[in-house]
Amino acid sequence: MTAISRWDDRDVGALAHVVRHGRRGHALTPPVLEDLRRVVEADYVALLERLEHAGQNDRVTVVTPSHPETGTEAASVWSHVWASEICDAEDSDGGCPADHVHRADVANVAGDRHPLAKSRIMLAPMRTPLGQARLAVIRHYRDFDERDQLLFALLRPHLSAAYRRGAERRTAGKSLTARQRTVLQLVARGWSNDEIARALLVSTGTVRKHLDNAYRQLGVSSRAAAVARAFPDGLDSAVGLRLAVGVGRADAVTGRC
Amino acid sequence: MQSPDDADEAELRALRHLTQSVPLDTRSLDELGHLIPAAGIVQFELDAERSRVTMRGMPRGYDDSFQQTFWSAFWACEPCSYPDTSSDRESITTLSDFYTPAQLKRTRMYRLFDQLLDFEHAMTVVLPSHAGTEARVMFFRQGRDFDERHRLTLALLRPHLVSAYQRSVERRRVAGTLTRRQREVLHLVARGFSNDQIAKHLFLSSGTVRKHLDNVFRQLKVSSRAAAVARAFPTGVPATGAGARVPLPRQSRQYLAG
Repeated sequence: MTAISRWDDRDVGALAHVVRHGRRGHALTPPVLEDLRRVVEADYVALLERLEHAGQNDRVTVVTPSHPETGTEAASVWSHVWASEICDAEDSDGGCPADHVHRADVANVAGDRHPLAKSRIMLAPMRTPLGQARLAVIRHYRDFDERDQLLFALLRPHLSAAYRRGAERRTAGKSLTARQRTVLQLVARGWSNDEIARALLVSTGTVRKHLDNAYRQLGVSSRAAAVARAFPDGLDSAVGLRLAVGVGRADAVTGRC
Repeated sequence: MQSPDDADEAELRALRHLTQSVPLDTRSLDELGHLIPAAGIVQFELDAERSRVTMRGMPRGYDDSFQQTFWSAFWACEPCSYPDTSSDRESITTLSDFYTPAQLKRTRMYRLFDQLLDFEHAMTVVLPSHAGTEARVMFFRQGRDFDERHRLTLALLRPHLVSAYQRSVERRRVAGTLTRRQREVLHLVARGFSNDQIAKHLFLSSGTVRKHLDNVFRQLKVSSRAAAVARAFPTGVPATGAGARVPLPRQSRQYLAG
């Protein structure tokens, strides 16, 4: 990576793309990984995911200059990356401090004959409540210098923000039923179970059951945590609901007086 | 004039510092200057109620009348109140996003700061804390405005600066949880007293003093007397703190005189 003052328009565009993805909580898609690959001048970038919640297989997204590919079958090739030592510090970004960016010499782990044995790797661990991921930036021959490592450290919170929010959205969106989401949206507005029951014309027991199920699916144990998990990007996604239940809420409030 | 190599080295040093887990301090502001050239870099800190502002990097102090002028100008100044009114604390903004140069010069905020530093352009990054306080790092310039490269650099640095600011806030919070007695002991440590001397001043055994200090060290996560003082009084040792009010018994006056 060149000095900031020598960044060209393509560098600026690629970096801005990564920052934008982090801000908006878009997932780490192959185009963003390709931008990352270009600015750190890597031969390829691999995103390894191990999502625990649904017993899913490891998933690998590999991005090379020629073609991006995704698959589960390639995961075995990457098993040593999981085995490699990496810092466990849990800072606010779910990663390690910059001086712990790990550069694993694959040969130590997987032996000289391994396809990655001569490669140099910078790794960033990414944790979500739903599983773990490791982002690997790989060069075949030339080692990463300090500037490359610092740029990677600089980018890491943006990359993990994108990854975390993308993963949360993907999982939360899939696993909840429409009714569970409706209940959670009302919970998010501070309604009690009784109020929700009246608004949705169901019994309090049913509301409690919906919430129990939602908690289990989201892997949480409190109302607040369930809301935070189900709507990682805030409640704007719930706007449409306001009209549908507005009347019920008014009734519920009147009934209490 | 710096050679390109020196500038490169300074940039690397700055990146190294700013991506490490350190609190936001005067050095951080200096290092930021190597990445984003500016005539002045000022760290503002707004309290949670938006009623006090403190500044680091300013040539002059900020008394009550300054506070009054500042806050009456604050809500009328669009770029100043934008993070609060829009809840957008992530965007890096410049004054020119909001005002033409002529409009800027008509604002009360400009007239207030024009007396303190010469500037035409400014770029701001907002750093929230969990406590509701907020730091803003502002880069000031004459001549050419900040461009998209500067904005991008600051956007890249922002998560690191947010963490650094939150670490500072946390350290201050922990320093605030010390008991009155612990602070008294630390005041005397700051004045260079030994444990024995402190024990005599406060009518304690030196074992008790040691125990107080042990607890302080643990709470502040430090391992030396000097570090404890620095951490407990981040803005300097107050002249009339809790400890200073304790009347010194006669033999300690002798110590001081001797």
